[in-house]
Amino acid sequence: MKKSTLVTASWVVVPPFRHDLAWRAAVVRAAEAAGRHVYDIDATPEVAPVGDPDAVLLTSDAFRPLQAGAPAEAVAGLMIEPSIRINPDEDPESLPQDIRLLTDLMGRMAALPPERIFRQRDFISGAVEILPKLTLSPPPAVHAPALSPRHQALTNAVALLDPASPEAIWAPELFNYNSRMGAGGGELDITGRPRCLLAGPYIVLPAGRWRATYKLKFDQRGSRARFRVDWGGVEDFLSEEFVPGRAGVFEIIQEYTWLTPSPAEVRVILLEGMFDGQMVFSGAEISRV
Amino acid sequence: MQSRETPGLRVIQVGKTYHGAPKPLFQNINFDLGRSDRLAILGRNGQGKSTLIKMLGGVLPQTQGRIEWRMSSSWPIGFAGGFQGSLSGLDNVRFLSRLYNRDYHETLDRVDDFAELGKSLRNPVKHYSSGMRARLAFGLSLAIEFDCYLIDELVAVGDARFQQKCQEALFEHRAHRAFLMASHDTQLIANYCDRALIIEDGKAKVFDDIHEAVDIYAWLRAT
Repeated sequence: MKKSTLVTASWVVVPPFRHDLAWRAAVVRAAEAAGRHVYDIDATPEVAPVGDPDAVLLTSDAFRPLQAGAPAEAVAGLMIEPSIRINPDEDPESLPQDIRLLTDLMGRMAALPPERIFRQRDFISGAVEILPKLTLSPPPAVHAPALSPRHQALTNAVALLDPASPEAIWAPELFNYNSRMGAGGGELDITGRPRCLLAGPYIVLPAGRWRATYKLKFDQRGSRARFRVDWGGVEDFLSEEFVPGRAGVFEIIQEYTWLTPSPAEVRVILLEGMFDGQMVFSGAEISRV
Repeated sequence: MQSRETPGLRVIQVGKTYHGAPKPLFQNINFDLGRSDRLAILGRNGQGKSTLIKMLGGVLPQTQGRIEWRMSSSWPIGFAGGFQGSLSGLDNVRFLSRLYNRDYHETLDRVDDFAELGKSLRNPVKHYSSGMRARLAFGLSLAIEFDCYLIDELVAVGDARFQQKCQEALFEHRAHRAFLMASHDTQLIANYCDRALIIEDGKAKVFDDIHEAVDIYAWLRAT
């Protein structure tokens, strides 16, 4: 069989996982060692030589090579580790927006053929030829401080953006709460007006059917109120109402189909004013159906 | 808005259990009242609003906790238990004038000006209608100036003109005094109070947002 000859540039997709910058540098080194030119197409899309077979185009967006009509064998994606380049402890105000932007890019990796995605385990033995005339060596080990609990929770949560990962835990730390006395660890004083008690985490899920499984614990007073639980996108979602009726732990399972990638939201809404009551949310398990 | 000055009233872990009752009417009530704060006391019938007002007015003892006054307080307006029924209205005015060390004639003028009881003041209070007793009580409460007024639904008595007169006398002419007001009238509460204490099923909570408190009270009444 005659081997096909590429007449387009090579594409390397590096989504914003935790150490993406070190891997981008490794790609640049590998390309230069092979006598090829590297372009950051995200920064300067107008001058990128899309048709130059000697060019290596670096992008964080897996949709770019597809939109440019690049054949699968001209594209390599690096999904090195199930993490994300966001420290949720650094800038809480921009966190929801950052999560949306970066997880959207992570989720787009699902558009690449699975065999064109390279992971940490592929580099255990050393350099790998990820594209014709492009052999990539892993970057030197980066000393990284231990993750904070919230950062670790976010890292765990985005694991399911790797197409090979079927599920992930979304810990209570990732959600926003509206509680009279704070909501440490998902424990909420639900006293107050009807309102959205918890919402988040706005991780962009790729198109597909996704299941959310989570537990809500109510005390006797809290169990008397009417609640609404939503699962889906911010604007389109599945919505159900219920009254716990007794103190205890209630498991909620909801499935919703994302037609396009969009931020995912679990919402628990109090529909009645409450004089007193407690609710505990212990996080959600999200899985691809 | 809660003031930052030294509170004129501190209520610390206050509770009440009536003799022979199987459980406390309420317990662990805590709040401060500044010298110009207006706190509503909300709760469904039987939750203990009037009992709390009487305890704050010194008419009933608490069975738990402490009530510390650092400002003068009225007797519970709307509470006519302090009248000696066989005495006339005039004699009751005289009695209270002496008790509070006020000039009798000045006090009488102020009472009569407000209560509009005229010659009926010469009759024994036990012959008064409930409305007349309330007018006398309200007139006396306003004739003797206090730093804090304890109000227990009195504004609901009398005709519309008298109610309007009561509201003006209390909330407009005494705009900078403190108030503790128990009422079912949520519109009145929302208009005149800054915060609210809701008592429900033996538990009490202070809400700093009066409109939130009124909303929650409305939900409680609906259930």
